[in-house]
Amino acid sequence: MNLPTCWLSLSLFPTLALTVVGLMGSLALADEVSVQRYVTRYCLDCHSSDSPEGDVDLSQLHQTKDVAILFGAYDQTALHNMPPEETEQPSAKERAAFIRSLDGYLKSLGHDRTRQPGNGNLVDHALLFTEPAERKAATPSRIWRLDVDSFVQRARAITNQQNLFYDNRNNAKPVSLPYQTPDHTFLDFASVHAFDNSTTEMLLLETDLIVDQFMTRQWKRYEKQSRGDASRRWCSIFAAITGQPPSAEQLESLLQLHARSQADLGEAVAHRITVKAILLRPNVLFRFELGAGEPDQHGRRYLSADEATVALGYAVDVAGPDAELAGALKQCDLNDREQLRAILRPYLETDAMQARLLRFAHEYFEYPRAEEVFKDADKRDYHPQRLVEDADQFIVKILDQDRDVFRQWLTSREYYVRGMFNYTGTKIAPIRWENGYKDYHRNFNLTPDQVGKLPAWFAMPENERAGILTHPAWLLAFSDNEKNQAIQRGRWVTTKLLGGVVPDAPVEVDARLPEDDSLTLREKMHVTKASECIHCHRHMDPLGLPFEQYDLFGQFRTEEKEKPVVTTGKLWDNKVTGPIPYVTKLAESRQTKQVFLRHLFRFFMGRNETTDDAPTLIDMEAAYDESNGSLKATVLSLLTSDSFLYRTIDSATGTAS
Amino acid sequence: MNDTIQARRKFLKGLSLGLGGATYLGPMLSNLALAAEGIERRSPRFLFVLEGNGLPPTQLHPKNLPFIARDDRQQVTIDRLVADQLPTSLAPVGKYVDRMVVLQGINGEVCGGGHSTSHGALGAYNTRDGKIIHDATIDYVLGRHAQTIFDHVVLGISAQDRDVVFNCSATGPGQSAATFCSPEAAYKRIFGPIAATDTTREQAYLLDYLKDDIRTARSSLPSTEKGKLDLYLGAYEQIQLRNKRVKELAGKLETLPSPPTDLLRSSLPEDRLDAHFELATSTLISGLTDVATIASGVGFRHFNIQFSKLATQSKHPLGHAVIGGDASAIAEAEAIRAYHFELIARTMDRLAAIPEGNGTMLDNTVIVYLSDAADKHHTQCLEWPHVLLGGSAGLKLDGRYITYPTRGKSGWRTVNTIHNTLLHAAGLPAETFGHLMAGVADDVQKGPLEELIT
Repeated sequence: MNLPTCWLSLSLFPTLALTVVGLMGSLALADEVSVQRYVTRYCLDCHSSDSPEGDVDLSQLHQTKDVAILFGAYDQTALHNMPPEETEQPSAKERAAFIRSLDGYLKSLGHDRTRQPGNGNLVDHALLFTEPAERKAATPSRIWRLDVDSFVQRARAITNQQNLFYDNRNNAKPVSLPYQTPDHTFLDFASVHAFDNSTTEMLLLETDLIVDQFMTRQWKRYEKQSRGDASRRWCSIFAAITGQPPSAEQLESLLQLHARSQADLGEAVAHRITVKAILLRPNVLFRFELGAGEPDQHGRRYLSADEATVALGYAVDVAGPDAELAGALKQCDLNDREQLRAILRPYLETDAMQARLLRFAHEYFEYPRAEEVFKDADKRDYHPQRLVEDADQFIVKILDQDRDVFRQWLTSREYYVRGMFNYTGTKIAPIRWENGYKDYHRNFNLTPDQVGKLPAWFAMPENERAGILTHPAWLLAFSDNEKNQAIQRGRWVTTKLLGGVVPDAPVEVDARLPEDDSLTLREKMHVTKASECIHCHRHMDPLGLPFEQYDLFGQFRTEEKEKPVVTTGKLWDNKVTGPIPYVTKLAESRQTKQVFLRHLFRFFMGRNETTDDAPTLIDMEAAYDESNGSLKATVLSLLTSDSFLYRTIDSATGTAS
Repeated sequence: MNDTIQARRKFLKGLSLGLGGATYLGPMLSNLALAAEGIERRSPRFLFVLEGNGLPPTQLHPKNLPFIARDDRQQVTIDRLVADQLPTSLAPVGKYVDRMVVLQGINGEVCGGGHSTSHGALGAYNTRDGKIIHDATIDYVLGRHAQTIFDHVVLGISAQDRDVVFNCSATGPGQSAATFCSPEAAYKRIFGPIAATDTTREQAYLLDYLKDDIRTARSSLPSTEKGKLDLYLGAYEQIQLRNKRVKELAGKLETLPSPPTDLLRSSLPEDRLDAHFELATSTLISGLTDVATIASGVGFRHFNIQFSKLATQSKHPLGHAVIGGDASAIAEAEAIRAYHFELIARTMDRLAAIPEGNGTMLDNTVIVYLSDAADKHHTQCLEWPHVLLGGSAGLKLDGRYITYPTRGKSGWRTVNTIHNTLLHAAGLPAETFGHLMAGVADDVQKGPLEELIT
């Protein structure tokens, strides 16, 4: 047996999250025995100390401190790569118990993998949808760096300058709040982001822009309102920037800062410094979710009224809570979930919430990546940005209908396609004048006579398209300059629909396909059958190859390289004949729906689910089913769940001071 | 020995002795003092110049030598460079022909390919289209080793109209260093404490307040979350310390930076690049850092720059036209490259005019020029041309044109060996840097290039 190269390389998995190193760990005796028993039965035939396969010796796995070995064992077991399929297989229960033991051991060594973005699928799926003996869902107390979009919204609100950080040519978002989450994960993840040396320096520069605008546009107003009373003025400014009035100590320390800097540098500079100081306070840059009050029998405390306002406000609107929500939540007892649902229900129907759910769809399906894909060939009318905008319309229409959302997203044939001329009052380039957007419409297999001047909804042929995964935007997002990325498509299905795990390609692997123009992509992908590749690729490749029904521009095709295109694949060990039956099967599965709900949880919670969150997920699924597939009802269930509202001190990683 | 050198030595020696309490300046000042005593510096300065969009080997190839295509290169060949036979791109550094080495044929497949290898060019790893930063890049590693006030300074120009981008340099896994694209912002950052004292005083009040505020907020957090605020607090402490060091050093330096000019605020790429070279040179001379990186349109989102004085089209279509063999596009690409070497020559002139040790600053400064897209617009990094200029006690930069054979032939080397060579020159004789290719022998990718080390 050949050991996959990726076995050891997994230690290189990026550790962007802030890891907390606990006491050097050891396996509890019971776990040690069960790990040893599992390894002896399923691993040692190949991986004993006597000439182990791939130089991986697992004979001392129960005692090793070699994290790379533990990561490898964990991932390969979770991925069902090990034991190899031709050998005796453990039961699902045995496999899950082994993974749990390894997880506990890794945690004791300071490696809490399941908390890291991208590793959520390592949590046992069955347990997440099994009612526990006791319901005790909660989120560990935390601070969560403001999302960059929220920061921009706040800066605009503070300065009353809606063009701040706006540039219609470029993405002009502040660089001091970058996303550092790995590829294919939700961007805004609470455990990952903070301000290091580099981003803090940027923050100092970028807040200057905000202060400039504030002084120009707002200062006089506050000065006038305060009628020369400095305390009153700084109270108002503090409240406007932070959303809370200052405490007496906070105000005193601000006034002192102002007085000291004024004596040295003059009044104007002192004003600027003091405004900037408020802007850079931790409570402005981070959302504090610590919990307050007496803990219950599980050590859980509800979010304080202010914390709940902030948490719920940002969940439903990137700009954060409005005064009305804050007022309503102040009066609300979080134990009264029905009252809380009543308060939140109107917010589900707002444009802001629609934007939040669209962002979820962006990050879940990843189709906006199409905008980053460059194509050499046939460049003249390649408009990925417009394809993404059209895909947005598809997503939003189903959101607005809010029925059977998941299945509709995966199977609806109603596509929004822009017209031949959709610029109004804009000079049309000669090429457009001549042929409109007919090349653009080729992406959808629409001919010029089918397309009018204005955008329209088209019912696509049922043998050609079904849902977002066959939309040109999604297909292009998983393509490159010269070809489709069938492997990446398979990876997406594996992780985002089937709840599987795919390790990153080992760094030393030359992950390139042969450059033989006479071969189809499927033929080129024969290289992934090499022994060091097949263990991972056997999962991904058959899940991506049905999409070979479309060319590298997302056009439906029946031939490739002058031969009939082959579109077969494999799903749950069954052959699928093409993309339409394939995505239909995916859309009808309960498991894929549950995996989808797990991702919805991660997006709104900013963390991975744990087995303690099982009641929340069970309730989300019930809400979804009982509402005929309403995404909004499901989100409401999540926002009013114990997972969302309770905070707890995480016993595994620390205690409050 | 002339009077200037004597005076400089005396000054630098005095500077070192006069700052007994400022221990954090110790390593840097002892380096300067060594130079004052006529003893060679332990490690050279480095200036990395990366230009986006690929560097076709032919654009570095001397006119007097037959060009041998990659597949036909069977062994290492070494030829002398002759000033009047340099190609158009290198003509501006003709006067330094004996102080440079051109490297051809080094294999960079470990970095992947595409429009850009992003951080991989200086990291010797595959970033998968810029998505994964595996580790610190060579410029940061060298800079950190030098223990100067700034570990390194990264400047650049981008097709995106941004003050700062993250595209080529890294301080650790997942940690991209900021590339300052606004020369004005970079000037304030580096020389602010010297040039505008009010800014530093303003910052001092602000930072003092924030540090207290952060400490208060931190005390209410569980231990898992304290780390986030510790990072934030640490950043302010670091900035304050750095400002203090810069200011202390400023009073003792002979050469203060030029005051900001209009060039710093120009929107033209040519002017911005000019300003960045000026800044990088001043920063190196001042001793605030030993390593500067200039990224000229590096990375997929940044490389499509329109050099309005030098080319009729932006670099993306230009790159395609060059691949297609369009003669006028090739001429424009060479003109842009020659402009970079004009600026490199100007930096070398300035360094050569400043005495240091038994020679000049140029004798202790290594300039490394390369493209983040190796040899062409859509690269596979099958070969990666480099130009090394300047001087270092540990390197033979002596007017040679060295061509390495193609993959698999005896003597072929990977790009890691260039990084290893620089580490050797800096007194960090690491055997490996970056990722290694599986199944490739150690002598191909480990250790320095024998042809370069002394």
